[in-house]
Amino acid sequence: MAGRSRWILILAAGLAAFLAAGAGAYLYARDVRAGQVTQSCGARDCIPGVEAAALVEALKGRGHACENPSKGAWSCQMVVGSIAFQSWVHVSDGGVHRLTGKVFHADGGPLTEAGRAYLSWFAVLPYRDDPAAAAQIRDWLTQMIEADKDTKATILDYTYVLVTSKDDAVELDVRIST
Amino acid sequence: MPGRRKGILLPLAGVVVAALVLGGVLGGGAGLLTAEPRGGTAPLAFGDGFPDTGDQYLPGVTLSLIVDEWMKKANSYTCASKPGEPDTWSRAKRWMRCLPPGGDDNRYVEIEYDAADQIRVLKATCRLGTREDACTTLFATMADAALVPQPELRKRAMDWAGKNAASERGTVIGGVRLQAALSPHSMRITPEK
Repeated sequence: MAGRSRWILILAAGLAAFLAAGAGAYLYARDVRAGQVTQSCGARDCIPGVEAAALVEALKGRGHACENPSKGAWSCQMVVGSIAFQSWVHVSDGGVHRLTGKVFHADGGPLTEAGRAYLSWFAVLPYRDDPAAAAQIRDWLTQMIEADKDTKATILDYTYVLVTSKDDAVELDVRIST
Repeated sequence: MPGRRKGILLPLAGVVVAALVLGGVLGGGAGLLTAEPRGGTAPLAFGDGFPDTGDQYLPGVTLSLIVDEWMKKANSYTCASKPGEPDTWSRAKRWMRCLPPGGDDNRYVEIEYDAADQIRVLKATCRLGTREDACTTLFATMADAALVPQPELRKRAMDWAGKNAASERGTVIGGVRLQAALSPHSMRITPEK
């Protein structure tokens, strides 16, 4: 009698431990995965859910001409009048680990609405599923462009470098913080 | 008694530790597999305002509007088309040059375009003298022609071009940039977004 109840106790404790550990680990793992805004690609981390080839095709669909001279990065460009919209898509194992957008105005005009939309699209690409984070990044970018100063900022998992001091150009570099 | 307690503690500890490890591994694995990363499920959608293919062209302007209506009918210019230079800024596929009667090449109009309804650049050059009326008229009528698809803006564009013909100024009217230059004396019209 004593032996049987002893085993029931042990099994019950084991079952309880199994369920508690399982539930805890399950919730923790989900939380980690859901908070992750990078995904590994080869030796680096990349923007999740963005394939370099798909991104380049999408840009081509919006009038860009793209070439891949250095293997590591695609360079895309589109000319609207005196404005050149340029972007560089840095590739690792099919993913995108760095993005640069640049708007150059040959007549020296201010950054246009399309220019802002262009840079902010690249800026929020990693957070396109997260309206709150996207809004935060857009606000930051708008303020920095207004201030017309070179800035570097780390927002969540990404490092943003905005350069406005080059002649007639505004450039935004987006890469994963290390 | 001590023997019994020892007898239950050892298997209890063993079973609990094994259960914790097994539960942790299975639960963690299931959690990683079932949850999606925060970024990365939405397709690559472009929002409003992101430049698009059509933005590269002067809105509503066609080759026949410029060549037949303005250059030939109003000014008797004659135009000839050539393939575009691949290294021009606009990367236009075709290039056309229009000259006034008599082949006087002190005044000419260049059109950079991809197709008959895809005009990238209009540019008038005039070497007759910065203050010369013929130059001012050429620039002003070109601005007028470029804004024909936006009738309510025609007069504004024409007036601006007339007033600023002899300058290095630029303006944007109805998504169209008018840019004056002095060397060579010219006016360039391009889309701007």
